[in-house]
Amino acid sequence: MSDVVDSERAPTTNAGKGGGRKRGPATSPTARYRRELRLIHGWREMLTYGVVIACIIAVPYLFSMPLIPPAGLPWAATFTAINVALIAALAAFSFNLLLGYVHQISMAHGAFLALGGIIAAQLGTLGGWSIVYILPLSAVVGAIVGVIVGVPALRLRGLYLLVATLGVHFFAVLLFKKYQLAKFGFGGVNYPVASLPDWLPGPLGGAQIYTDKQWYWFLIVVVGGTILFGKNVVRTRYGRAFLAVRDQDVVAAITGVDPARVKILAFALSSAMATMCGVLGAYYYSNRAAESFTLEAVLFFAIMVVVGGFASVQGSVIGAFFVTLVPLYLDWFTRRFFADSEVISNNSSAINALLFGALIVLVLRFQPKGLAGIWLALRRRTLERGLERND
Amino acid sequence: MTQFIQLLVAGLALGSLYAVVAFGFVTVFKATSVLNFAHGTMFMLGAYLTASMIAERDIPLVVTVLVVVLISAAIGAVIHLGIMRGMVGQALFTVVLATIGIEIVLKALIQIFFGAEERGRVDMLPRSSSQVGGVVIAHADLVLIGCSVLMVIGLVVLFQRTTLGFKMRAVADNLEAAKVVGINPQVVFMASWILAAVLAGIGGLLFSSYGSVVSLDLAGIGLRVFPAALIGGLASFPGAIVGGVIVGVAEQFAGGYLGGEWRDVAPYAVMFVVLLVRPQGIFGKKEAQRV
Repeated sequence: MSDVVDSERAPTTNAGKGGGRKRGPATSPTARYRRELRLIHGWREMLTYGVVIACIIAVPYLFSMPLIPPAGLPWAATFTAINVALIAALAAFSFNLLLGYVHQISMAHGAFLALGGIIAAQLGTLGGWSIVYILPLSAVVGAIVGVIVGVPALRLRGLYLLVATLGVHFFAVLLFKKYQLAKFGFGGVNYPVASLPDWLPGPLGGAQIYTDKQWYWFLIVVVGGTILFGKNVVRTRYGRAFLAVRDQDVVAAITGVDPARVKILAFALSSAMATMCGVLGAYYYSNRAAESFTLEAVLFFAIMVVVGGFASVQGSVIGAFFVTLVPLYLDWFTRRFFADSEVISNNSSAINALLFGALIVLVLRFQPKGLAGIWLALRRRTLERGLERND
Repeated sequence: MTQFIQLLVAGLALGSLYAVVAFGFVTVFKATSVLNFAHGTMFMLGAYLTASMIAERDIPLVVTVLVVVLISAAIGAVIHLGIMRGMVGQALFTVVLATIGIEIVLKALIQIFFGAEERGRVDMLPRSSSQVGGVVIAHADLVLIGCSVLMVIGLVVLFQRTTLGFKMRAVADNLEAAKVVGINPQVVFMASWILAAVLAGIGGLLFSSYGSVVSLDLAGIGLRVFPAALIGGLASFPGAIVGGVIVGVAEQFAGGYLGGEWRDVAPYAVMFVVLLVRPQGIFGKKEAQRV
């Protein structure tokens, strides 16, 4: 059963593989399956989780310390970038759900970000709701709209789907523009400061979120929680259904997985998360206009997913951090070492884009599994025993 | 009624330009199955080169055309040799994203070499117009249509009468069989990329005198070839031409009757309608999936 769903191109994932390696003649399918369902596979994974949790806790303390960074590294800007990367990670993961797990190439992501922006404007700016109430509601609305978009998408495959969803993107941007001009004007939609509802205990009640540190914790909770939820979905039979439909949806139908339902489920989940991401982004940047939802932003999410690695949760997160932090450090690099060249300093943003694009092409050309693939290759080489699935 | 005909003619002119660019796009797709996201940027490059050479340096038209063709061809060749050749067999979206990376690089290069400001339209086409029964027909539109028709005829000759065209058709039809017969697919792939780049560049050259500005937005306009190709059927040459014309006409009608902001959306709206009725495009073939 495990081999049917195996795909050579994806990095190892949770779903669908019973161990992957022969553990010896004594392992029965039941034992393997039970082991696969375990939350944490072995001490190596526990160590990884421990390190990750330690990093998460350490980050805000690290960045609030009055360190003078060596060589003028953009220390303070990195913290802001980390927050942006967290929001992007949610968007990247939702994109990965569609692209990496179910192979539905949808460019409609920007449309859902815009939808999130409209919801946040209507309920938050005009209605005065707290962001904590808006987020789950936006997820529900996003899921419903996602289903609406997903149903006609069933008729289209591959590149047709890509271009059709591109059309959805342009429609949504137009819609946002109409909404913006109707209710707010040319300056874009302004969002209030995010605040928690009053009934929360202690200092959390009615607290406002505007410093980097506050946003960081809020985002860790929201984004982390949503991604963990998504990761769990991927662990379950739905996740395996996603992969089945991705690899061979006709065969999947024969084995009892309804591809239509699975695709729509994927669309609903992905759109829900993307809409939430739109709300988060709206509050974080406090001002969104129709021009903010560029096609490039959507393409950047795609880059995050592919560079990070398909069908891999940590890949999406890694990809999001990569795409957000690399331009920052590239900028520092060109400024630091080439400050005396006039050509370079005049065109710094274009040069950053140039290096960034070149980096993407190089990564894709030489390691198409992305950064997660590089990570896996490294791990495979350093561990002697058979690889435990680690997701 | 007069507005209808005027918009129609303008639409045909713009559409014929799109048709030529879409043709190049479909060429690459048919040969290599790659959705080239960088097509819009190659289009933009042609426009920028033209603007910089004709408008700013008064270089004669013939030389400009030659330079645009050569530079576009070089870029197409580099894309194939440097990048695409090494990515044979990768997942489809990975290759598409590589073209997106190329698009980012090209856009940045254009920004570095030409600067980010907009330029005005290049004055290459005649400004006169004639009146036919109350309808004003701009000569520029007629020239555009004429140029595009000439190019399409040239392309048809290339594909039907030359050996290279024959090889390209063979590879597009059935790669394995073509290899068996002794056709080198790498040559065909390179020729496809070069042709696509050149067509996009020439499209940009023509567009620089048609549109109102030459700016970085042109990449987005170049993206209109996507719905054009899809309307016609992604792997169909006549489809590309028909699709291009339809998109041009739709865009002009939307702009004329609904307002400028609907121009971006109009091609996609038409595409939705077409795809709902015929998901494979007008001339496309229904693909059977092998299990």
